[in-house]
Amino acid sequence: MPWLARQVVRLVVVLLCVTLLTFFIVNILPGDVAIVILGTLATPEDIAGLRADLGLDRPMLVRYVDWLGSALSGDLGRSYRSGEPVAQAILDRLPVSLQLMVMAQIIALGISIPVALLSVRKPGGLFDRLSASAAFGFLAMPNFMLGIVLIYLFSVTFDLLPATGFTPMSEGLWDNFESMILPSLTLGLIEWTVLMRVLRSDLLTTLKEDFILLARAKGLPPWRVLLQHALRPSSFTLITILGLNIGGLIGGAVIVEQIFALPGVGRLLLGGIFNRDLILVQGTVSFIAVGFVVINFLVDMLYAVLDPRVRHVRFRS
Amino acid sequence: MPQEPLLSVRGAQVSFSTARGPLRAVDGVSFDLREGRTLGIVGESGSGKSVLVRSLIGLVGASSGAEVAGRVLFEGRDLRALSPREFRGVLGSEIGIVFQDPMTSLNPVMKIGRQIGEGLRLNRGLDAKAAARRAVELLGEVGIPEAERRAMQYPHELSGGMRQRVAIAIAIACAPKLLIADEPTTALDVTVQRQILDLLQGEQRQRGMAMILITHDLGVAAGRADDIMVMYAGRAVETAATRDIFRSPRMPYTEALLRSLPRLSDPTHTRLSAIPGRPPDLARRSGGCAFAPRCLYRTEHCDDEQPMLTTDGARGYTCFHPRGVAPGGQA
Repeated sequence: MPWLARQVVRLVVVLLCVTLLTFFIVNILPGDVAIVILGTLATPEDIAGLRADLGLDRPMLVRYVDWLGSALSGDLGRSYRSGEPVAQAILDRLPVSLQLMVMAQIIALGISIPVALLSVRKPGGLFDRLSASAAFGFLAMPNFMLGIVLIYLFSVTFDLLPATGFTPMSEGLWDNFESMILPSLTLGLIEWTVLMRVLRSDLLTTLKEDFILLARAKGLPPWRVLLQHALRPSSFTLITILGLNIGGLIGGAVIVEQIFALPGVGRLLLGGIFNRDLILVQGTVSFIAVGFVVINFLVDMLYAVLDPRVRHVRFRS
Repeated sequence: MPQEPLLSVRGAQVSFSTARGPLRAVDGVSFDLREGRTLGIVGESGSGKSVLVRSLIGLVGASSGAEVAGRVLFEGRDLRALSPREFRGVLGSEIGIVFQDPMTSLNPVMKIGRQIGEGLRLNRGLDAKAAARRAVELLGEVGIPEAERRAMQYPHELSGGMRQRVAIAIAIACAPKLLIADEPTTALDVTVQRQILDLLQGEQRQRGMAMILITHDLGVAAGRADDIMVMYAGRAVETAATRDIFRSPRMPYTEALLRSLPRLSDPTHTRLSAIPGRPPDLARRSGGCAFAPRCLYRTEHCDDEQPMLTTDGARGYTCFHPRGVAPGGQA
């Protein structure tokens, strides 16, 4: 099967599994959207009535197939609780999550690549050991804690940045940027550690290759050997992890959005779960799954850009 | 001496620290190489021949955890006294190197033309266009057809022999005075080995380069090297003109190596003679001759004392019982 077709089949299978599983899990969660809407004082008759109105009295599989049918035509349904179309709700919140994701990745890459390059200059040297310790320190820190530490430092102590809340771009680019710095840092400061470690270890492997010796024998200065010869062939694991991270963040960063009160997709999902808003959860999760698979599909294409040998194999098969 | 040697090495040492103590991979090797001449460095794998040569040009050194000592004069300049920047200048413009395996010695993600042109831009100050043009010319010179198209390809699109030709083009790009070929044919098909050796020799003659040809195969060095240095366990055990090595080896190790070569004059199905035993563990040197445990002529003396270099005209060997020399007298 050609490569593209395989990717599409993979996407479909993943989506079916993810949506079915979500449907099942949200259904077995204790609690009921009808009770959430009507309150705990509602009579059983009222609840049964609302459940019938919402279609919740039908068997799970029937509801799933029903949902799947309309989802395929682009209609993700309406939130049980607010009546808002789910697709619209996601689209409204997507820019916030995307901006968070992009800024966090820029921070993570902006730290990890230079640090990795500097630490392989002298493996086991002072910089290498310091950066390894720093990386493990950040990695060991849960992001909700880092978020709070950052708020304490930058908002409470030095009063440089807003602690929480989101300013849309329409109300000023700089204000928008400011409101996103701390959340992005919270994600980026943890993510760079893994990226740095894998890039460092791949660089060390590449640096043992003969073509690196040959590059040195050409008289290239060490930094050019690193940047022009070692970096690109060493970036595959980095790209893979980056893809997984981006894929994950497409659906927002649930905890970080919660801490910083950002109206992103992650918070939408969390609200949906608390409210047992099955349709909303289902739609959001499906969206995240599609995003994840599509991003990793793009990453796969990026391999071919980075490595001509991959191109070669793909065009042949 | 008619002229100052191009490369003069005195007391070269390379040691690595291992968990079992220091490992002396190269132990006090000295040699001279004059302009336009070819020195074959022959030895089994692990004899230190590659490490020696790589240490001379700074590819093995502190950055790879090795301790390097000795004096290396290139055109009278002490290479180890140069600043890193000056050293890179000499390395890039005066010395070219071809590695064993062209599958790994070319950058897999960089176009061939650029890999050739890179050194030209750096060391000869060519601009991108001129370097690209020169790269295509060089590809033609090393016998690659459709050079223009090949220059735009990546290494994986070429066969092993073609890749080694590219590696040679890279090595000679800046018109170096010294070409180092480190087992240049070991990773190649037998059918292309000869072509590559012929190409190396042709380029060498035409450009008047000196060459160091590192090989584990005396047969490869036979027709190509003016002089041969045989290495064993990190030491140069015999150095002589190629003709003398083949005609009358002094060192029993050299003799054993020669005996392990197949000869056309042998009847078919003749068993090749192998050297019994294994090369010694370099981290546990004995006080005596390193070859003694495998040597046919060994005496107690050999176990107790390390034989020093004996010079005999232009040749040298380290053995208490040299072949072809009457005991206690001259040949």
